[in-house]
Amino acid sequence: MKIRLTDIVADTYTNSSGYVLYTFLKSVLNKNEIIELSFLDAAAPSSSFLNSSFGSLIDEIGLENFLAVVKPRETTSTQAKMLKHYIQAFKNGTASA
Amino acid sequence: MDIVIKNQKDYAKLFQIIYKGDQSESVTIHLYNQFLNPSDILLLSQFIIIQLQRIGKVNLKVQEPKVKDYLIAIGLFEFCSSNFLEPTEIKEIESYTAMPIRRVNRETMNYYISKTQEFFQSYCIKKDLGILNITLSELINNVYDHSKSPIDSFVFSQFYPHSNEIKIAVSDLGNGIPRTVNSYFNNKGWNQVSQEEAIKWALKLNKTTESLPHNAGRGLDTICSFVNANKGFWILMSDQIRMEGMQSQNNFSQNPIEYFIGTVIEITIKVVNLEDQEIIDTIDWDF
Repeated sequence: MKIRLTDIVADTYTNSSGYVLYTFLKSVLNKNEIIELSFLDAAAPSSSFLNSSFGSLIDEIGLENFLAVVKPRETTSTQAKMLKHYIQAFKNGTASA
Repeated sequence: MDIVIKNQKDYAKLFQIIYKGDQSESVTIHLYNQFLNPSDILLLSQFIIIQLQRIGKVNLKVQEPKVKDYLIAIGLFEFCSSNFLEPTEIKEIESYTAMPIRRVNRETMNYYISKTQEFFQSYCIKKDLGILNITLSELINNVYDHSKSPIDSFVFSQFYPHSNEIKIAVSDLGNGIPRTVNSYFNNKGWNQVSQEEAIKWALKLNKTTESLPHNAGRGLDTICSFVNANKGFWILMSDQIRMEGMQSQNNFSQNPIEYFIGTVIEITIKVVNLEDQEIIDTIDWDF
């Protein structure tokens, strides 16, 4: 399933928008499909947005499952760096949202 | 009351007035500076806003004609008007390649950042300006998550063609990082730490004062990482501490501005070190 981030949220900066994405991802996770999340035309996300979306989901299903199911696509270099920076902390076992 | 401002230390006179809460006397600022950084602009703006709230009037006299022209263009004098209402629409200041001074909150953050990126993109052709999205949103979120600022966050940003740099600054008149951290420590029953140690604690990954359920303490760490990757630098002033971050080193010193209230952070982005715009189809996590 391919989803465009800009179709789901109005911004990629706030906790409230992050929560909207989290709710959406939760609802489609039940369908047991891989979610390709396109960042095309979206702004580079803040850590607050990621905490409330990816972070909350990782807390629930674990990092390994999250990376197996949610696949970021069509990112800019900065978006990719931000996502790696964010996920790396979980990988190192130092993060908790 | 006449206040003479010739250098950064002199802003202490403005903070002292804010600190004392004196509502009896009109203030005239005599500004002698030859050059103002974005953080200077915000410190002046904050004082003017506070004075307007308290006594409805403040005078600003600028000695250097070039500086006066600049301050008129970027809209600082409009702030001095007691009936000034910030326009909803943002109009870029093309003559100084700057964005106007704004009070930004969570509701207006998305609009301000997208307009800023769009404007600077016209000077930074094909450069990936995502660092602007990240740093500005982290700074503004920090104000709302932690500072309890009575005047929202103030934002000013400018592109400098000669040095090929973008400078962004965000300020507030809230509790400041050291006090916020020590208040959190107090609530936890932990020992108080020095102001410098408090800021060092806040800069570490995942250190959070848990002001919101989804606050995971990554804002300052994220800014630090992206500024270092860009080989830029940043200056943070909060309470009695000044920090300069450059090339993975954070140097701490006494804040030269006495009576300082809140936090101001100024980030310098080196445009030449930004990556070119490109779309990456798949992220290689390479852990």
